[in-house]
Amino acid sequence: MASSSRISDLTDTELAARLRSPAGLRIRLGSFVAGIRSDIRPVARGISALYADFPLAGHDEFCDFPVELSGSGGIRRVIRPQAIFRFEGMQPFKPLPGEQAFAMLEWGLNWVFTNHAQHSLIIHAAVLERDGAGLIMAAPPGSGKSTLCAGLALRGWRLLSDELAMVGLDDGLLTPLPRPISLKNQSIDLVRKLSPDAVIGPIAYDTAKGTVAHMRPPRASLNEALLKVQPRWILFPKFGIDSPCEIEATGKAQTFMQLVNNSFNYPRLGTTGFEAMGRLVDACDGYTARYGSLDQIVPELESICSRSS
Amino acid sequence: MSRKTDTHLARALANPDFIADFDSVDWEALIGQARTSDLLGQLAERLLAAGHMEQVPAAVRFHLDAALRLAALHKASLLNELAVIGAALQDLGQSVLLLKGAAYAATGLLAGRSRIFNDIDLMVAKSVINQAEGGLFRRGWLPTHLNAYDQRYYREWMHELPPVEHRTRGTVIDLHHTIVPPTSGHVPDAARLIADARPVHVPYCPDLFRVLTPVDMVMHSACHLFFGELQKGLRDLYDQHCLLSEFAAADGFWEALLPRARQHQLEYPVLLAIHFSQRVFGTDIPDAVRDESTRRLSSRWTGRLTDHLIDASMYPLHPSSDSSWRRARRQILYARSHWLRMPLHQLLPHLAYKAFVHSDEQAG
Amino acid sequence: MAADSEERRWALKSPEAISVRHWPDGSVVYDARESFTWMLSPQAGAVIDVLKLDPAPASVIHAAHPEAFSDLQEVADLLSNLSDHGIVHSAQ
Repeated sequence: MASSSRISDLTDTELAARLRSPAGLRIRLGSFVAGIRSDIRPVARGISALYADFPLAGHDEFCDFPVELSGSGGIRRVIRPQAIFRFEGMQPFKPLPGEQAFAMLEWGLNWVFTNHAQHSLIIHAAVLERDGAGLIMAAPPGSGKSTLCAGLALRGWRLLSDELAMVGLDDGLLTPLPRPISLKNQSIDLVRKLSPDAVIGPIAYDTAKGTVAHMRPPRASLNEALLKVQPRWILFPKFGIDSPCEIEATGKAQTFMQLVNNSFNYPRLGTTGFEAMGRLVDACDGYTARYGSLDQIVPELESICSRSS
Repeated sequence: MSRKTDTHLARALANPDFIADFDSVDWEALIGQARTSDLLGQLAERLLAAGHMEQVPAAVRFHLDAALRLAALHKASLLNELAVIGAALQDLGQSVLLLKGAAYAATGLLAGRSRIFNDIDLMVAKSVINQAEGGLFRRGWLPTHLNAYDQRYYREWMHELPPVEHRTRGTVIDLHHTIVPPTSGHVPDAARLIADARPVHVPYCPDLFRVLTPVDMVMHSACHLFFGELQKGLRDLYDQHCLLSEFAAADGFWEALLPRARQHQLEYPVLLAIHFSQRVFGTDIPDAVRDESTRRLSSRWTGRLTDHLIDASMYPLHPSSDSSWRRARRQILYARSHWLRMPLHQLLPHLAYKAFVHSDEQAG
Repeated sequence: MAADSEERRWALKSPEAISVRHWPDGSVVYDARESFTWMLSPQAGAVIDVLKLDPAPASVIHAAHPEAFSDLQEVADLLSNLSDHGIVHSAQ
């Protein structure tokens, strides 16, 4: 039972016990195993709500990324409790208020993956797949990328990631890393209304990014989390209230430059990064989309993606 | 199986056969220790050279391969920076010494293979150091310590200028004029170190760069390690192990090492380097040199205590190898590193200032 | 245009560190030395292509890419423009 079971197979008590054990809760994220340790109750609640469908890893398997989310000790436990994130015992960030603990776990994991993906060019983007072809939606925060990503995932697109496009330096393929989709402010309610299937986890108020919550990734996406995808479309979404829907083709040189601005590790990769970016742009059609609502853009996008796939 | 894991990294680096019957707990300890000690690339390099990569489980090999890739990027970036630095400093009309990691990598030494660089250490004669700094400013490097106290602290008391950081690429350069802080009371002959240095060819660079002779390189590495804060103790000691192992074959190296260190008033750190490198990594040291080191170290009245304290900093800061007792000893060692570099009448005000500024920044 | 400036040879600062890719809407150039990426017009991309191999005068660039330029003057103007931006410099 060990390696084929999922988080939802654990009772709340079992889940809490694993989170407190020295090895942590061993969970499979894409091709990696994370070991999550935490004595904070909201973290356990968030994991049980949003990671329910994730497979558990066996106890004898190598843990790629041991992370820990602990509360502060002493008086801080009672007055203004804090959450501390650790990776391999190191503390890469300052503590956050205790009620942001689960969001901090998500940000911490993003940090871990971006810092250890030396085999990939990493772009700040949502990535989805349809009919075997990958759609990369790259944009700075606030452009509606995650909302659009959640909308497409709820319509049956396979979710690869809502934050990180990992483009293989050797094969040019997209590595899936499906995890909860991060939603901010108004988009939390918007996504809740999109579909009765949308499961939203604990809400953290007053974070550096505003109000933050996460949506559980579709189970089908987790089942295919080891299947890499050929990138096919690159979209730069730009949400504006009451904006009409306009999608236009973007030239490859222009696309290249915009991706550079949205990449985490392009500068560090040197010439390798330049070559990888060039191959990616060659393999994809680029588009820039302005839109005011999901109802407008989703059909347009689906029509483009079925036309050229 | 359960065994003690606290020396896994040192033992695997010393002898890669050590990994033969590793289970996942062992691998997690080893990789975690290597990550926290900045030694993952060197570990990968060592396992690769021993032909052991095939024995490493695929999941672990992924991270070793990632570390090799990262190290290759660091090396490429170093060579690029040196080309820019070469252009910036060619009008100096004097040689520019590469120190530490940059020297190991540019010279193709074992110690530089798949090593991570946090900054680039250069040394020039004190008479041209301001001119050299100006040259770097003109190529886009900017001072990092703008506060007047820090500027004075470096310029009056230290062996290097405040680090400069490139405004777009973020690369950091430490510009030295000698290899130990003058306030430490040890006064090596900097002019002689520079005069004895050997040319090293760096692609796309004018003939400008030099590296210390093998003996001087070991001496400097030892100073850096044992006069420093020992925050990356194991990593720096591994540098030492690689240097000693590789230079052992050179003619007259062992005969020259201790006498030369004495000439430069730097015998003590070299004795410690020999002692610890042998203890932690089993470095092959000729009997005569080892006996002499042991004799001279044990004649110091603080010998045992220092030994005990330094020992604590040779364990990775990882849950699998750290303990509260080791943390406590490292705290003492941190204070020691300051009194080794500075007389107390300068040190106490300095620490007080740092403590004040630090708590001030935290509050703000 | 005076004959001497047509004969002036132009060069890249560090040709060994330059990579370039061309697309219809422009060329993207990467300078590994400066760790800097920028986008140029397709014509400027053609200039970089030639200078990557060797320093060259405008006439050689024009001959290598006759489709990209209407006349030699256009090449000369572009070179002077690129020189103002520090992308090329006079090799003599």
